[in-house]
Amino acid sequence: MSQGLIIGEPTPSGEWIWDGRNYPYVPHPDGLRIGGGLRLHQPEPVPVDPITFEVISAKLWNINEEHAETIRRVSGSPIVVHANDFNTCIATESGESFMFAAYIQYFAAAAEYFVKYTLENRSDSPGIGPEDIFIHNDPLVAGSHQQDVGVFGPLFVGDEIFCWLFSAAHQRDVGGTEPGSFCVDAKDIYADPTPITALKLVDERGIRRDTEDQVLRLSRIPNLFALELRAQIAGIHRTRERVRELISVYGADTVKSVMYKLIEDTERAVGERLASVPDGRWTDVNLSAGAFLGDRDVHRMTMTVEKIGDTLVFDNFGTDPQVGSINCGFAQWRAGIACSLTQMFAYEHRYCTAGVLRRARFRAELGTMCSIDRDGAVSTLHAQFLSVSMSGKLLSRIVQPDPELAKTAMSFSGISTAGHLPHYGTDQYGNPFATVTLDEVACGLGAFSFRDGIDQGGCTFWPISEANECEDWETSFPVLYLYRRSARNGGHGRYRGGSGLSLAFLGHRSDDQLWAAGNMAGGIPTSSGLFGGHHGNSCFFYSVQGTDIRERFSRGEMPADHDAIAATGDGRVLLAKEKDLPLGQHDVAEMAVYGAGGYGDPVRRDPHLVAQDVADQRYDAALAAAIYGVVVDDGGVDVDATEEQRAAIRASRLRHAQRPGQIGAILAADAPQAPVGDGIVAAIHDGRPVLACADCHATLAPVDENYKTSAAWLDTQLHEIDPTIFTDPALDTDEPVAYRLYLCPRCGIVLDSELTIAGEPPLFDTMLLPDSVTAFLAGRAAAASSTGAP
Amino acid sequence: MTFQIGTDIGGTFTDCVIVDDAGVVTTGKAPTTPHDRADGFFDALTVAAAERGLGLADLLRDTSRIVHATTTATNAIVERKGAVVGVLTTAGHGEVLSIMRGGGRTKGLSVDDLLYLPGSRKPDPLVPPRRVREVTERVDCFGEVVVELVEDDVRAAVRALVDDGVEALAISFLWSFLDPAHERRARDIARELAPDLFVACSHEIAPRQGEYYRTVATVINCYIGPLMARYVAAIDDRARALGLPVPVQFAQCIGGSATIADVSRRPLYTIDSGPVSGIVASGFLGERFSHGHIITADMGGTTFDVSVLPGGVPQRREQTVMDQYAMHLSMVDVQSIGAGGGSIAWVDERSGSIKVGPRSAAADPGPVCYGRGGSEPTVTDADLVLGFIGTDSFLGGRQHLDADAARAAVASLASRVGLGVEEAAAGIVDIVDTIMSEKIRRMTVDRGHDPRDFVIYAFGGAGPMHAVGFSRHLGVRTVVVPVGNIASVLSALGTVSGDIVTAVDRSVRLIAPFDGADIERTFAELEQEARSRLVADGFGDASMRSERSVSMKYAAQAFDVELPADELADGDEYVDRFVSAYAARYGPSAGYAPAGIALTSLRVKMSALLDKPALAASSSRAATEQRGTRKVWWPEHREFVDTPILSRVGTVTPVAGPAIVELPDTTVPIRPGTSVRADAFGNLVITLEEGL
Repeated sequence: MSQGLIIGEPTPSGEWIWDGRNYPYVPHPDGLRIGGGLRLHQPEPVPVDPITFEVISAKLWNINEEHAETIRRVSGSPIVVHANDFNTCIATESGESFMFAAYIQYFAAAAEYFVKYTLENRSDSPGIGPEDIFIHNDPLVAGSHQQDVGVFGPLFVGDEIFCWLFSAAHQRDVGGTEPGSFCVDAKDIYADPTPITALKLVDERGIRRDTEDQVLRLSRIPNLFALELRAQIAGIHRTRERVRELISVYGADTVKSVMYKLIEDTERAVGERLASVPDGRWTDVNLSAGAFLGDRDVHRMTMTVEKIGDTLVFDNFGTDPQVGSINCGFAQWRAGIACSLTQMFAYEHRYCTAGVLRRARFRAELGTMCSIDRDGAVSTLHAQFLSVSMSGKLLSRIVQPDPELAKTAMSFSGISTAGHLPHYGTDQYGNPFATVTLDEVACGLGAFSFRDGIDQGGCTFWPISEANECEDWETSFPVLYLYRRSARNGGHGRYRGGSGLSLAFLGHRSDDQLWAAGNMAGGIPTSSGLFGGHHGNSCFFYSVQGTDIRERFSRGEMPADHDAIAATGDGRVLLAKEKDLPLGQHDVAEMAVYGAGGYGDPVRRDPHLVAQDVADQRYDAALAAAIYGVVVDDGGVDVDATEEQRAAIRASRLRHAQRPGQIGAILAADAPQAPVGDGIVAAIHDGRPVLACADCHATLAPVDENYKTSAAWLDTQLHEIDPTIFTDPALDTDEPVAYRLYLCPRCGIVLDSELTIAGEPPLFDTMLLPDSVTAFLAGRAAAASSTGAP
Repeated sequence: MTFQIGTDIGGTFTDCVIVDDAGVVTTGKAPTTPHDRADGFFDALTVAAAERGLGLADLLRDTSRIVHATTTATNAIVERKGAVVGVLTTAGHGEVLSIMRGGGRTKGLSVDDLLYLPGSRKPDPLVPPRRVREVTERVDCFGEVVVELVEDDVRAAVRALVDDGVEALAISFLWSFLDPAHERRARDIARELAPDLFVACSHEIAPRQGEYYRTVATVINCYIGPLMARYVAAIDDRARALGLPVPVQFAQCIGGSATIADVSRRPLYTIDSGPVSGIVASGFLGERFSHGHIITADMGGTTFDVSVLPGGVPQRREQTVMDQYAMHLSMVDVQSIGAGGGSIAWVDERSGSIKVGPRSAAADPGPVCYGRGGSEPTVTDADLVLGFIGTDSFLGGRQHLDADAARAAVASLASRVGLGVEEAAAGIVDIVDTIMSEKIRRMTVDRGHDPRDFVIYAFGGAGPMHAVGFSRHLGVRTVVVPVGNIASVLSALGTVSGDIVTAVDRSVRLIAPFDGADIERTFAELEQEARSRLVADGFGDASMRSERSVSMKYAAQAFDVELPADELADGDEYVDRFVSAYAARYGPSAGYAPAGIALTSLRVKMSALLDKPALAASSSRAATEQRGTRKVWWPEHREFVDTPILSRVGTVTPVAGPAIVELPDTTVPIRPGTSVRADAFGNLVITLEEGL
């Protein structure tokens, strides 16, 4: 029922329908509609001297940290305690989330909508009082997936709401068709876990029995859920005390003015950074398949951002309709984008989300993968992760011309798609259990614009996280880890993407255990590279049932890698979504996830780094020669042979190109220029701003045209480039997926690449405004001449 | 006359304390000598001996105990100058060290560092991948063998590692702390093949659940093992050659000291032994002076170390992080943040506010006022601008300070934020005091303690300078600068105020209701093991004290709570103790009994009790001595005030602030609204007014 409506805009007839009940929630642009005589503390800011500002902001940070620590200490969930799949927040009286701890960041922008929705919809009935705490996980309003349960309450000063204290934490089971609540077969919200929409959990009498009973009724493991909720409630209580103390010392108006200033400072800094690079429009498309059991269709998520001056406008136009449970709501799409914005533009402001959001606007088509309508299911979370990764990629393009900002540019990173391994049944102590291994937090960090990504470097949106120890997991659940290793699945490139983790476990001491693959199709990886860096492999799940491993154990053999495990029985690569796979004492579950994308054309990689990679057994000498054009001989680089091989690779690319492209004029040696990619520059040629090859200086196209139409194209397959990492997409889909390289038609370096459908036109990913580019280059030239730089 | 001697090697100075039979304390300081820290060690002894009119050999000949806290191990790790280590792991788990649980990129970093992704990276490896070998063996979470050890795997691995030049071998198998047989057998094989190899097993070094943390502890133990064995032997040999009649002992991070034999086996436990010795000294002094609950606040040039001692008892923690490597290590809980006299103040252009740290001018170039090339204002420069420090009284006059340079640096910062010079200096002090008070708050309030119930012991070069500032933020009423002029060498005193200590623990998985008799049997076994260790180390004649503790949690929880268990007997008493301790820490509604209650480990800390230094109390009624006055800009008055400079504080009448106490190594501003007097032991006791 997408109806072509644009979320966040009035309908064609002028109605504001974004109420969070029938449609996604979006606060009305004219302000919050709060009833019940409820008042917000909104003083005129008072001057705060630089010392007091620093003292109060340090205290606020620590208060929020204390909130997080309270939850971790009280919580029983290894998901919360070790992986830190939670976060805490302080938001202003109206919900602007300005302070978040260094755990999962995409709860930050969501907290804002949770609070605003509650203000608009609960102030009349049942009312909002000083002791109240609400519980909420509804994706139509702001929930990421239902497992992430928001608990939050106001802090009053007098009869006014001064601020809000918020936490969201991943709960192990909140219902739905699957234990662990990753509902791989859900096609709508009615098969997904039932959402909880801003229920009052605590009032002046304490925990409300009616709400708690209702909430716990949803879960297969109510006792654990109850304990977790107490952790979150304890956190709010503790934090309220601390903020009250702060107000008693410094006064409410002063503390509030500091909050406002933290937001304004961030907004200003982000605006200045944005204004420092040329304007334009950038677009990314990501393909994935396997949205539900048996699904073989390819689904597109599209994201476009337009930057004019100091403001960004994001849209999702061109995104496919919502499907399965891989979607996310509008608020979480926005929240995912906010993660990239804070990471790249507000790292000096401790990721102050409220500040960056003031410089961004969002428009989304209703009923799509990343902006569900009322029926959309979200429990497997794929689109949420893509929102982070795709926005990061777009912003990485925007920042290229500024050398300092360009350091924050990265290829796809960390958890970029769904890759969950839920297992459930009866544990080794005879108790029912349901959980999801979160080993995948040890994912690869993407390649940077100036160095390799980081193996098991974690997520961009989750600064502090840690996988459980194998021993912790074996204590809690009936499995025996056969191995845990680096997956060697990072993308190739001038700078390599970090590798994720691979692991396998055997069922142990329980015959009643099943598992599920909550994955996306491995043959169509989502971990995109950038500027010619290849994809990393995001997902690989494998199952062997009825192995002879126990017999091997008794013979003193331990299969401890994929090949050895594959030899123990009839194994198979799993489809994206499968469920109820046996995990008894002779069955093995294996996964390798989240290799990050590479950056830049591999033939531009420092040959000595390639030789080191070969020595480190990241890939063999044959792949070094084929992909990187480096001839490794006796551990060292054969310089002459490498030069020849690289020239041969470039020539071969052009020879095999399906479209040869059109070679443009060569830039003048003194043409003003600035990078807009790893192999592309914007430059002035014949008085006009154009794009050109950074390597051979051949011009490609005017900056406001799609250079790919004049570039050479080479359609290939990732699994043909590196069969050790990728599988054939034909396993997962019947659509003709191709990996297309866009080449400089003159010198054959890869300018960029796309995973696309054969025959589709090239994506117009970068459209720069000519006047803006001209002004930028003139400004750089003027700055260089004033400093005497060449 | 016999002496007890404590020493502590710090980054800049090596400190020495001598206590004689009569309780008279003598101190000595000498520059630390990084090329060979043993030189600084003997230099400090020589200085202290000279204070008493003795030669070094005379001193050592009459010494009954000498204890040494050292940073040698820490330095070897930071500088990557340890041994060539090989590792044996369970098959399939040889990458545990490099995977770092996926959290190594940000572990232990300050939040501002970890949020800037392009600047973050994993630490350099302690062991390259080729020196990690996997062997066939497997034990499960019940401690039962799933796959027998394949001894030929071990032999092949050890031979290959030895051929590769390995000097130390870490053996860390899954679940070895539940069944150590495979690790022991692998160790025996290694010793057969390479008798000179330094070998450590994870079940001995860190017998706790969590293979990464346990492996890191074992690897670091090996990394510093050969080096430390050489170092302790060299110190001991040199001291014995000078006539020392007893073996040198070494301070441990668990508190107390260890013999050469023990330290050579488990050098890991010397990590952070210096700061921990300061905590031990505080506990010792707190008991002597009946100060009850104590917070120790040690502020030096670059770091601020805090520890909390409820009832005067140091608390423990079970994990620590070194150079982004996290590990199991049972140690006195002292936590550090980057705030010290050298912390640099700077203007955050984006907010227009002043920030302090985390960058530090450290000792080199040091604060601007040191005149060694520093140009950015530091906390010490701000203290000088305000007049808290005098230009010629710093470090007993040994270091002249350039007040004009400090003022110019602070003025430059002040003009950029529109403040006066003194206002900016006071702001720098207030900000660093806030940062430190927040750290203390996290360590008290987070654990269910009210800081207002505590006395703060302030020491380290800058601790007494700032103690009133951060205490006010916390509502603390009393600050003690321990024992006057030895406050700055407290860690050295701490090394001789502890006993010989060894600790053993065992992981278990017991679910309530508990069998008290079963727990008692396990404790008895642990105590027997600990006692035999001390007897083997030559302390069979000493009386011994056992302290039992347990770790417990709600069965569904991940974190446990450590509880003293000395007087517990019946199984239900363990449950009651846990429930009440938990409620006190997290609030009455936080617990959830239907989840069940689990006991996860038992621990015994066994001390061979040694004679402690008896500090002399003075019965004379000393009077306050004033040496002059100085203009000091007090933030409370917001102007310069002629302020008395005291060279001694009387024991009878409290002196009301404002005043400055200047002792040879310690300066203490007595801020307006507070008062100070000395007690019979020479401690300065500062009383804060109520309501601030």
